[in-house]
Amino acid sequence: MEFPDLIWTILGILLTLMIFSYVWGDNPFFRTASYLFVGVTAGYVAVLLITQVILPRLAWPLLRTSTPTEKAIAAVGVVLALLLLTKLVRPLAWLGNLPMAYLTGAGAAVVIGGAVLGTIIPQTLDGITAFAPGGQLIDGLFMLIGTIATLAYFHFGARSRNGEPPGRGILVEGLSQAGKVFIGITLGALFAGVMAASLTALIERVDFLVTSLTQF
Amino acid sequence: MTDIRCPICDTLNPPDAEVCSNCGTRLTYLEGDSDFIDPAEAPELPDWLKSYREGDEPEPEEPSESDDWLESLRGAVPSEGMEPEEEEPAGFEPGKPVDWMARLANEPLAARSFTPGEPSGKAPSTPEEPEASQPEAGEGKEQPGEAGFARAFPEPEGLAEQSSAEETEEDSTWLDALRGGPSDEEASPAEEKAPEPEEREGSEEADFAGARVFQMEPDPDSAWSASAGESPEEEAQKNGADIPDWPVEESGEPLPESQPEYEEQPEEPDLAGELEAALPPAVEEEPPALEDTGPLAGIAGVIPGSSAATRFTPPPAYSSRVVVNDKQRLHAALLESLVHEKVAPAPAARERRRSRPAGLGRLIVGLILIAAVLLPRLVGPFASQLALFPPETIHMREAIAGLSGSIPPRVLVVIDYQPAYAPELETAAQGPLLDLLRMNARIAILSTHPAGPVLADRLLDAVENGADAFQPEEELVNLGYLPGGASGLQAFALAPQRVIQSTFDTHRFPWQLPAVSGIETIADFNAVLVLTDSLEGGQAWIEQAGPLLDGTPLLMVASAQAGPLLLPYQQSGQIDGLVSGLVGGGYYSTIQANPDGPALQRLSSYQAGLIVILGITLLGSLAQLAGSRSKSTRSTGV
Repeated sequence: MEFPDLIWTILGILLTLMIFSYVWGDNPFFRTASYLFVGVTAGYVAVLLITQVILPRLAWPLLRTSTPTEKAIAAVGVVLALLLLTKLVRPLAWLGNLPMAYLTGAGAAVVIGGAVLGTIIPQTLDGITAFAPGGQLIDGLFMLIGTIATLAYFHFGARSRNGEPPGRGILVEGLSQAGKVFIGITLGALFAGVMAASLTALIERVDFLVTSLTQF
Repeated sequence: MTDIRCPICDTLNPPDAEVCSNCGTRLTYLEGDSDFIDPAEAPELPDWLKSYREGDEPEPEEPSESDDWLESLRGAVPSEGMEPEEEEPAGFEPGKPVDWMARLANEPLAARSFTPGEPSGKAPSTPEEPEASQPEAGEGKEQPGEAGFARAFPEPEGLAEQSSAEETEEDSTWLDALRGGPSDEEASPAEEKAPEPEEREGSEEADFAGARVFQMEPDPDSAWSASAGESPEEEAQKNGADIPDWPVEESGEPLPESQPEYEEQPEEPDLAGELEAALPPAVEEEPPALEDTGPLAGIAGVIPGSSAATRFTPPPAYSSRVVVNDKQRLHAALLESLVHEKVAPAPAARERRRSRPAGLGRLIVGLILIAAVLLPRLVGPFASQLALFPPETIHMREAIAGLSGSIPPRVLVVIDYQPAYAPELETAAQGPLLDLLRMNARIAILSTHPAGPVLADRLLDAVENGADAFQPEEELVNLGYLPGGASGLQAFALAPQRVIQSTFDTHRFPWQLPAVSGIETIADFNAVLVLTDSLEGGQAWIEQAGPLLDGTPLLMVASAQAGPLLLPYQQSGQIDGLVSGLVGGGYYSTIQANPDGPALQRLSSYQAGLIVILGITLLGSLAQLAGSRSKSTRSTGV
């Protein structure tokens, strides 16, 4: 193992053990490692954004040789960026509404259009095909019931009948109870996924420790 | 003879009536002429009064200042203040001063006597301040203290137009009193001590006051006379003024009713009194009041704040009771109980004493987990062979294998995960990446996360060990970070060359490099492999780039958390292949027939760790259940 690799390996071992020290609770070692990761990440991201975004997309098109169209586009970006910075100054914060409106409007248009065309319509059509001849009818029914039951659970409309306290109808109430089951399964699956990811990270770190220590 | 019309109230009275039957106004003087009084029968008058009758007083060459207001009265009273009379009284001609008025105006004040019985608390008239004590004819209806000052000055013409019945009635009252004359008790001392007229002439003010005595006979019952408590003589002596003898004589010897000549004598001032009565009450312009409170204290002419403040009353108090029915009261009680439960301070839980930094339980769990993960290294792999492969993984394998037809295939690898998920995704992605490298695919790495470019280097470093033929210099390009989220992603899908202008490490224009040369749109890639740790990241590529792929396979390697959520997209055909988590990587390695794959190497540790986690979770749940049951048993005592 070369010297730089040795240094980085030792540093990696120490940082890993400092993170593992959390099994004793919050302690200075764990906090030191956490702050170090956060600081390094923030610095790295800042440098990355400067070198990958600001300079090549705003500064160089204006300062270096480029076509007038590129300069105009870059100038628009610079103006919008400067206006967005006025959000930091309270008297001039209203000037930042223009780039914020542009970002929000354009982003919403892109996201909504993609969600409708890329998720809602294709997924609805796929759910319908499950009931087609030769389709997976049981899977289709399961998805249908699960979808309706989950939606019923989030239906909070209530009606008062005969002076009784307001409540949901019997059908909606029954579906909402079934929805609880589906929601519980979904959240359980998500939690299992988080736990699996964490376990995988633990396995990778233990492998690193064992491998590194065996190499010394 | 015709009936006599009262000039005041217009009442017709018999011809022989001396006073008005309605208002008591004396009528004989108004009706009679100057010869009505028989001088032979007239009583002995004082010399100064005789001089008035004989008219030997000097006529003023020019009207004095005091004549001005008399002139104004003459001009104002008949036309404005009173009803026009059918017959002008004798001796009174419009525009011509009345004799007695002229005499009074020209008579020095010193020749007039002082009126006894000045109001208490008011300083007697002195030569230094004559105006303050000058009473005026017709003032009998006023308070003595208010008499002199305002009446001593001529009234403006515009104000001499008021005459009311009440004032006339009061005039008749004091006229009646004058007819009867003062009582003997009051008059006798004055008669004894009355100075001679010659002596009085030296005091102008006292003389003027004496004229008032003739006009205003004090009411014996009034407080004006009674409050003095002394005889007029004593009062006069005390005040330093002389009392003329003529009023004393007049009061000392009451004339009978049959002596009209004497009774007519007061008629001259009587007319003046009526004229004065026609005048509006003197509008005394009060000096501006000084503010005595507040920040403007001591400043004159401001709106008095204290008086204004006293006009305000405290706000009315209304009842706060709300009329509610039983149902509303029930709801209110329910709401109150709910709020009380929320805001009621719960007893502070007794802090447990912790002798250890983090607790023994957490330490034990951690050690058990680490031991479980290390167990396969100690006892060897014990994971069962994966046999049932999920369809998405099979599709992934088939899609990658189908790239071998295009040589060399150009694949876009997207890094869309955080460093925390790097171990999982690197393990899961090593199988597909190894296949790509083995077929000498041209790899373009694009990151939608800032840390992506570094993670990509780390990923390829790990994969290159299994692909000896891979030439990174020619077959790999790192396009760096793509900002803008979904918008940037869509822009890249439409025109990659306009969005990415330089490589991450060499800062060269990438689109002339062998790995990505000829790429105009995202559809020019032979495959797109997305490594994501979240549903949102995978959805963004599916929604924004999916419609533009135009048949290009979209493959995904997702974390175990995002894999189940992305599975419907694979089932609907929007994703051509999916590898989910470490287990998915193990399946792929199994299909790949790569037993040395990291996924399979770690699969035993993964299973051991999952068993430990499930066991600890189960034991913890049972312990919690047992603890709660024992607590309920203790609380119920059963």
